[in-house]
Amino acid sequence: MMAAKLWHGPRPGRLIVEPLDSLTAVFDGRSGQTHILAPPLPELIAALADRPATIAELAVRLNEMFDLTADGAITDMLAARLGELAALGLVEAR
Amino acid sequence: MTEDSSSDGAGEPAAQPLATGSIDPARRRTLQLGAAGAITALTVRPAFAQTAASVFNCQIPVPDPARSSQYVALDGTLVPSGTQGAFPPAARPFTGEEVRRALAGRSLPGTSYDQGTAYMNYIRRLRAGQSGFTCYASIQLPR
Amino acid sequence: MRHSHSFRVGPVGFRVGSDWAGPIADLRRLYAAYPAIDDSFASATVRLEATRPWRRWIRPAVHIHGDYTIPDALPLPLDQGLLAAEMGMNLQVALGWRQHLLLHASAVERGGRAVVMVGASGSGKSTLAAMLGEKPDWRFMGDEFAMLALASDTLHAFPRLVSLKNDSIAAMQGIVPQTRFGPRISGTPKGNIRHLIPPADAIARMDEPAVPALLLFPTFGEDPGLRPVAQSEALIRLTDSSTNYVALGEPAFAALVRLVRTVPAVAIGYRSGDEGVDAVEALWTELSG
Repeated sequence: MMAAKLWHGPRPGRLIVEPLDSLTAVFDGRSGQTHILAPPLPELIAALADRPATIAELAVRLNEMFDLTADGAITDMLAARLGELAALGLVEAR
Repeated sequence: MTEDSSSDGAGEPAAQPLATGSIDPARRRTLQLGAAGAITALTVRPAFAQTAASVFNCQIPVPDPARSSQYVALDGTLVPSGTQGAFPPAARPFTGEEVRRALAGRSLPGTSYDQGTAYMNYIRRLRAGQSGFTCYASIQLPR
Repeated sequence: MRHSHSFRVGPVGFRVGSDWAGPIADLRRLYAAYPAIDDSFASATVRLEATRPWRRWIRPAVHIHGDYTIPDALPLPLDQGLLAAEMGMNLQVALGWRQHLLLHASAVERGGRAVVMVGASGSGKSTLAAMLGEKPDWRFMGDEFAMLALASDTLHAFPRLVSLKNDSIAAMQGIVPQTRFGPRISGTPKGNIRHLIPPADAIARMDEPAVPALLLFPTFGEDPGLRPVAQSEALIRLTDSSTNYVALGEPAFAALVRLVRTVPAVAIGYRSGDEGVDAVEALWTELSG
């Protein structure tokens, strides 16, 4: 059985994160890009910022901080959201 | 992450990052992980309201051939060859398309994390008269 | 080049050279009140060129060149030479200016504070700014680029000729003397265009900065009304309107975050120039009261 992918967040100091009303503006120092992120993306980045996690571990971490809801299985939703963050270059699976 | 101490008055309290410890149960809030059809991210793509230019046949050398004896520091400035922590010139010029992808979060081909960062910072500092500037500017034109 | 004129608008020194006398004569007349500069002090160069020597006379077509060029850009007919010069000036600033964050916006100042009107072509930002600029309490700061100084969060004026299109031309002809208008230019992709010299005080005070106090997102032709714009939406629209935001990097991000957090942002719809002007003045009174 293959080991679950480990998701890595951005290195400390790479992102500048500025919450604005219900959305969050993020400047990525590596790419120079600016992203506007809606929940739960900023929360996912924060949850990965200190140490990498598998999707299962991430679900546990988030569950400690929030009441999680989703239109589907939580791990499926997390996988989709992490895919979106990966497309932006903000997280990486290794 | 920065703490948000100035909200616009209407929002819920911002999530606390894991590193600061456990969450006050009174501030625990709902996090919706996937509402159907919700858009969660928008990347800023500034554009000129002018004629679009083709990016595929333009190139950006790192650094400018006139300065190919220098190294590129992490912040994109040019430093003497061999400087500790700086990188030698890129083996070949990057195409406009490769740099456009790097702006979108991919890495520059053939570069390590820090090397790519150094090269992208160099490209973002390009000025008038430097090789590759117009190519870089045209990447930001509307398609 | 055989014909040229150099002059300063706000922080930008322009040198415009041309293979034809006509566009330069227009520039000399329309920018007569602006500071002249020595060619060597120009930071932006525009050259209006014929592709081949004989194309100066036979089916003359003006290619816009300069420090920066758009490859494959189509040339303009000679009777649109002034337009070519103005487009060339916009291009050099849009591609080359780094000393300020550039926003595609018009601006007017009152009491040291400015309204920044952000919008695409057709939103009416040029006409609104021009009309307000004719009123004694307001100073016209520019209609194409608002220049934000990153270190001080202030706006620097950039009062180039106002570019009026179609119905706006008649609207302004009812308000300002004919001597302030450039030639009638027709047959452009945007219809009829006519340039207008800004008011005398706008030119005389072009080096006076202003503090942004209102971000306005006007839409001409929309039902009259007004809605507040959330900070995140304002940030997105401001970055969309900037030609050098990405190039300036983190300081630009930080400056726009400060701007949207400190300055109110409002979207207005309006159906006539007068209605738009009234809406701006009413908003201003409310914000200052």
